Amino acid sequence: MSPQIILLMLASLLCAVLSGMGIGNAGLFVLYLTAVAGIGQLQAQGLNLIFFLVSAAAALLIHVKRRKIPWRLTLFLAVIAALAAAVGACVATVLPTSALRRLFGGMLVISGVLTLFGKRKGGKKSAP
Amino acid sequence: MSRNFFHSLPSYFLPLVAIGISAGFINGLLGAGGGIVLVLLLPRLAKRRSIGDCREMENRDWYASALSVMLPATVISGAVYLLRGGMPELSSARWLVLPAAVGGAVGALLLGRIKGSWLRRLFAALVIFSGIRMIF
Repeated sequence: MSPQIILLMLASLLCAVLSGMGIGNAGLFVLYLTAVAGIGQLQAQGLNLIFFLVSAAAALLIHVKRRKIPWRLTLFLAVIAALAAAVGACVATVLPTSALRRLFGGMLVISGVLTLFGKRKGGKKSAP
Repeated sequence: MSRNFFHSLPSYFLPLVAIGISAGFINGLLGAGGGIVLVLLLPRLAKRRSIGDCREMENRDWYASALSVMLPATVISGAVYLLRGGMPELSSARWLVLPAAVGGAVGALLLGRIKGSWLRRLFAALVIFSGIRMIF
């Protein structure tokens, strides 16, 4: 196996652990793909979708028994989000790479700031 | 009359739809980041408007819920990318699958058990720095 493949596997493992822990998946794997593996922005986003699909599905298998998930609510949201995702994905495939990168960068900054200041810890503390 | 239908909807209906649309759209547009919208806004909405299903939910539960909402959206996004030529050579994708599955399961087991605050800050700093670089 080439070093690139080993690196890819390690990056995938690390990002998946962080993502499952709630520390964040917002784009860390995409960052690796674009900055280290030299993959284009849209393609990196596409690979990230696959990555998320696998890592989130695996995490969910663990979560389903241990967490309280309001299924009616999530089903409702899932349908809406899926429809909106179709629109967003269409937009992504027609935007120029530079615009997509800027938007992605903006999302990273916002989510980073929110993580520092707004987001609650992913711990046992219940909502007040 | 359709007016009666709209009056019978709960007060959190429109905000909920807005949140769902935002999270889904971001997922499609950027391939990531939709979940944060859910984790940030849903607990607040649930608390303010007393969504019945959601009593006694902890942060960890909201996080798990966000994952289940984003999964179908991710499938749809991926399908659109694929259909419109946005997906790269999928042969390289097979290498990331097993580590992602293992990592996802491990992370889920660790959720809430390890105090991630310093890791979270490190991650946030990295992400902000990279984001700024990407903008300019």
